[in-house]
Amino acid sequence: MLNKEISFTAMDVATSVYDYFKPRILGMIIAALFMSIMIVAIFFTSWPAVDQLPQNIEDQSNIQSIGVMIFTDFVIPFEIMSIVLLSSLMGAIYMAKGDDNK
Amino acid sequence: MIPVELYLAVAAVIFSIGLYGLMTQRSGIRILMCVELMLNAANLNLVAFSSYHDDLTGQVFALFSIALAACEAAIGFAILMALYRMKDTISLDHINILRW
Repeated sequence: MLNKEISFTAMDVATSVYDYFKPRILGMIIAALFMSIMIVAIFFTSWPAVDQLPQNIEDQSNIQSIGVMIFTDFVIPFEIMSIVLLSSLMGAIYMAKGDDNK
Repeated sequence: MIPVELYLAVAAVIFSIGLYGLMTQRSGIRILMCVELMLNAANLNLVAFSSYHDDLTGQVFALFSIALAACEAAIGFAILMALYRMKDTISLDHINILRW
């Protein structure tokens, strides 16, 4: 039973390839077209950028600047984000709890 | 110094993978994973431009975007759990109702 002879004919291979690509080929084509368009657009655009990345030798990280910016310029979106996180937590617990609260 | 086009190309490739999965897969968890891929490609663009323009606003915005992605994943998985409890499947082809 285990050493059953396995033989692939060309028709089997073609059928399996067809079954693999039939539900996927449209998505593959659209994704490949999108990716080619995006890559062509990226590499043929001259992006304005700084010549040299700013580096501070003593302190390599910028997490302190990000924290200061969150609590000065972006404090209102930060508070709104806290409300959004709390409400999504409550909604997720309510939906995942189910009806039988035993 | 790595040119900024390579970051954008990686983000475009990741976004295309997410787009392909979103259009072909029919399982709810796989679709949520592909949405996460697309969001992370956008975050990569934000961080790359922020770093190459010496402006930290993009990185702060990427932080908010990551928090929103966490909210979206939590709500999505909770909805999928409720659907699985009700219909015993999370294949999105078999879910054709909006209320129950």
